[in-house]
Amino acid sequence: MGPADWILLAANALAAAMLLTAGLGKLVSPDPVRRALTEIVPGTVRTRTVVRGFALAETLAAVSLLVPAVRVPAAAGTSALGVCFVALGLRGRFGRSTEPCGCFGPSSRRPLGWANVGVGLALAAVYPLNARLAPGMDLADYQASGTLLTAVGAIALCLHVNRRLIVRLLWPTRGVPAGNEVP
Amino acid sequence: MLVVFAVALLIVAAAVVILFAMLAELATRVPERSGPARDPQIRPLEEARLGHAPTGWPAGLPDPEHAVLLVLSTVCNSCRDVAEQLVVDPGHADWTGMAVIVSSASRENGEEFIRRYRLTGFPVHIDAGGAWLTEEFGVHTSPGALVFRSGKLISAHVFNNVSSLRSALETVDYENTRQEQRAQKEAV
Repeated sequence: MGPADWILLAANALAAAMLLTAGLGKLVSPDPVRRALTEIVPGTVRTRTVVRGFALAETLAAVSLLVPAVRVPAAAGTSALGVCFVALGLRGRFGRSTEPCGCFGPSSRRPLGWANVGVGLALAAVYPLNARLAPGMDLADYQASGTLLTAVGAIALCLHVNRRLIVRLLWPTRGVPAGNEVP
Repeated sequence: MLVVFAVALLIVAAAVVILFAMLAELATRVPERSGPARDPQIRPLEEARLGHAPTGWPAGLPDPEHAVLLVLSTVCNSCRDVAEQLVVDPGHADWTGMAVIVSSASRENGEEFIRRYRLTGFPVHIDAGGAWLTEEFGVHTSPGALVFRSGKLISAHVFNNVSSLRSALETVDYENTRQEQRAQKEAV
């Protein structure tokens, strides 16, 4: 594997990990995203179905990036999603959004802003990279390596996004729940 | 083979992400506590037999003419917190007429609970098996507070914050005293 193969593999795996984590988080909990979008674009997104549909698109794009046969179309879809994130990030930033975006699930506390613009630009670069480069390795190796890297990346990103929740679970503060039975 | 393993790992990773998303969603429905914040609400203990005059009264407890019994269980997390509130945080050693009933599976468990949470400075009765509380008052919940006036159970409450409970009871007592004084004046 040459450097170009590693770059392509790493970029696709990273993009897939981000999209997978974001997509699954929104599928489970669409309300934070719905509230954030309603704040910056009132009257447009009203239903959980719309948000879950978007989340499904993210998840499909993530998985498709790892399949050599549909890699390039998936990359195009990924870049389109990236452009959406850039637009929403800019809208949130200049609209002074305060509602947590919920981009990676309920643990995402930041409002729409520059972080979304940065992620969007990174995802938008996936299609040009895939259009320019093709994996020089065996396609089965590409698929296996990409899937492994995506799995590890998704777990790492999930732990990072939920670090406050993990701390809260492992080191609970004082204050105990309501009472119990007298034996 | 490696592809199969990689796909299996991806499925596991997806499951982990979904699990954390669910936990985070549940966590948003639970208020985050910072420091020893305790629910100040005092709720009625519906199951208690109000108006009942106990047939047996353990030795060492305050006179049921004017008493408050705090019911704590050795297996209840909130009860441990209440015990700490009584002793040190902020401490209620000056609460006259109050006693602690420790309900436990056995006398040894009750004594261990009293020792561990340093309740020896209060009038304490160990109710092994919760028999006295259940038979006399129909109480199965803790932490609870049983208020006695003129030898009868007049009110029962579920609580987590001892200071809030004490304030609420003192307010009720104050109002009752004022009503009695008013009634005496009118009688005169």
